[in-house]
Amino acid sequence: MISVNLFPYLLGLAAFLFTAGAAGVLIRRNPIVVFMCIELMLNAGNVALIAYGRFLHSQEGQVFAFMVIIVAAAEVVVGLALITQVFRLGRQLDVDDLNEMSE
Amino acid sequence: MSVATSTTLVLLVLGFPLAGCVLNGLLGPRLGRRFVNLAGTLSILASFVVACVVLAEVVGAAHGPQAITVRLFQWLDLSGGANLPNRFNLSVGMDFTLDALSALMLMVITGVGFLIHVYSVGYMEHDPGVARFFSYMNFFIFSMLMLVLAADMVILIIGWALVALSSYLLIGFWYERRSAVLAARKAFITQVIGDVAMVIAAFLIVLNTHTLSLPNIFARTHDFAAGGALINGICVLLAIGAFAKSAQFPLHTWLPDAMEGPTPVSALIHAATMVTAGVYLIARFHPLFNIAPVAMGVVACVGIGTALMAGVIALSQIDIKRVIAYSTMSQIGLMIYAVGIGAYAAGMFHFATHAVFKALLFMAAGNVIHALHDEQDIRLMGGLAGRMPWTHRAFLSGSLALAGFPLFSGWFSKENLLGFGTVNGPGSAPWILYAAGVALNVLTGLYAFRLWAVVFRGEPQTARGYAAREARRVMLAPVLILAALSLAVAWPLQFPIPNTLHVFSDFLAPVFAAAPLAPVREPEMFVAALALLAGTAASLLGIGAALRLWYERRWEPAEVAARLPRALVLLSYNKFYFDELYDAALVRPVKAVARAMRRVVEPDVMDGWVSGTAGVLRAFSVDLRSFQTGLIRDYAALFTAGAVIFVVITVVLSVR
Repeated sequence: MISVNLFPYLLGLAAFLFTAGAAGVLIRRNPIVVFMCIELMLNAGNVALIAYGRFLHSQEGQVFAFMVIIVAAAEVVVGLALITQVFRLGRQLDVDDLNEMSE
Repeated sequence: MSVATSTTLVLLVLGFPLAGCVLNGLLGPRLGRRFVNLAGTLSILASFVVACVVLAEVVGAAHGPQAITVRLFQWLDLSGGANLPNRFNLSVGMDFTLDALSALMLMVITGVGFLIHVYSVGYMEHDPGVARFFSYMNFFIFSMLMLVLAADMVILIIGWALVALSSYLLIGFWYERRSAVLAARKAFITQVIGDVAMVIAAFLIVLNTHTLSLPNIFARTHDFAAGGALINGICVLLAIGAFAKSAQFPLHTWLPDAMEGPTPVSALIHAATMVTAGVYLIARFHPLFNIAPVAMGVVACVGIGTALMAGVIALSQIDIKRVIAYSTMSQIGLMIYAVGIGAYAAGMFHFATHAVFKALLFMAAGNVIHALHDEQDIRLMGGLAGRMPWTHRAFLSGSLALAGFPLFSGWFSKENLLGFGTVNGPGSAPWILYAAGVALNVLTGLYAFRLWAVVFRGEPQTARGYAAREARRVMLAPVLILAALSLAVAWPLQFPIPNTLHVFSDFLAPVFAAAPLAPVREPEMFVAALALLAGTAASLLGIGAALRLWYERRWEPAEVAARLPRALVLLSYNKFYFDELYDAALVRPVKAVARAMRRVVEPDVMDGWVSGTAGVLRAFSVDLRSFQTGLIRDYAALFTAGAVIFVVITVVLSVR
């Protein structure tokens, strides 16, 4: 159906998304944005998995991507709960402000 | 009707509401109210025009193919998987069917939907969230159209879930109100129970037919043992999905609460379209239901049972929208009963007329609520007939249609449906359910005209009632159009006596005649005429009694209630205690377990391990602390750097 070989472009897209996500995690200070960037990195992984699955004519890439989606959903649940709790404690939503673990 | 034309029609009919949703959602807040009003309503009007073309094509194709299925694109293809056993040659496509049944649904959804959108322009005039509102409404129309056009179980379930989502969004539209948020949640959770049942049914179907495409499933019904446990199980699961969506016992408690949403939402989603999706589902899956007599019996009994229960509850409620909600539940119960006895066309006919007169009743009620500044308690209404003459006339027309007054649309469809009840039905004694249906006619007359008399007759009870004014034109015009339709729409379509005018059921006949087995029996002329007389007499009895009680006040309602069995009155007023029952049976045990967990398991068991481990580690970690800056970004940077180094090393090694 599609004559162009999409594989390199998909990998490029995955790399771009991953880099963008990683940069966001390193640069941004709002935990919700950091969180979204982590999701972006996970989904970059998904794109790569599916691209490889298609390239290798195998279903496993897609299946594994579903696993990643499920794990990401679980992560969202825990992470958002944490962020909500932090907010409820009356704390600023700033990852640099949350450094009690160092003491 | 060629495949190319059909594809274009499907794309257009689905595309306009979706475009409206996206435009309103993204640009609406910037471009302002005029744009939102235009984009919101015109997208549905365009969709309605396309639906008319579809209808014309379907009618015109009388000698061609009766149903045409188009594939927009292949979505999931699992046939290539070398690891999969061969019998799971599954593929899922964006498949849509155009046939008489989907054309009918398209007409009702877009037609009534358009009028309700116009009404919303007036109703939501002062609401700051109007762009969001129209975006959701357009999205609902899109999802509902997807649901009724779907020719693949997966697409159908997606549409099924999307309408639940839009219902959730719209019930909770005023999200500052706690009650609205809770009602939205309740509706969504209840409907998910149905979704789960549907998905399990889909699994069972695919295990046995190896396909998810609806035409293929229906062509392979011989894979099932007719009347066997498997097919009955599948159909019961599908029926549970239908019950959750259509607010039938025991999954009905969300519908009255859903009245927390804006009134146009109640008219569109919780009266005319979404809640009748269960009826459509059973009609669409009729080839399976035809060979599942037990499931059909369950459907018929649940339908008529819910109809009676909701009718009894509607008699004592005091919130104008809740009364109409219970009447909706009751009328949908009747439709479910019709499809449960195999009278699919009759059920769909009542769906069509009900969509018109119930949307009308809701919008007229919305006018009343607006005129009284958001008053919904009918005990504080009254005397509005002279102050809101046109709303009053429209409401009266809707009430007459609802109560089945002769020559109003509800009369045609309800008596047509009950006529089939005389000779069809589960078990050896179908007349028991039929008798319940006739009793329901009395109840319907009672609650419909109680509402009319209490709201519009008598004297106003409040200063606002005295000052009430007629609604504006934009809110009146759709109501009046629907009022005219509820008077006239059924006349040229169907007459409730066999061998007379049957345009409507002839139109749908190809859809239901294609499936083998269990054709519904037509009542004989004599029986049908007798049933028509009995049903009409019951309706008139109900209307007459209601007028005596609440209009002429010749009998005092309170005294009559005191003479009835006390249990019945209490059950009606307290909605058969279902909310309390579910609270005691489901909510409280879960909460109790959670509390016990928190009090005992959490501090003593879980925290014991955790604190113990932490204590041991703390002893070791004193010297390692200096590495820990506590800044997440430091950790992330180290982590990333490590990953980069690792990748570089791997690449270098592999290149060499």
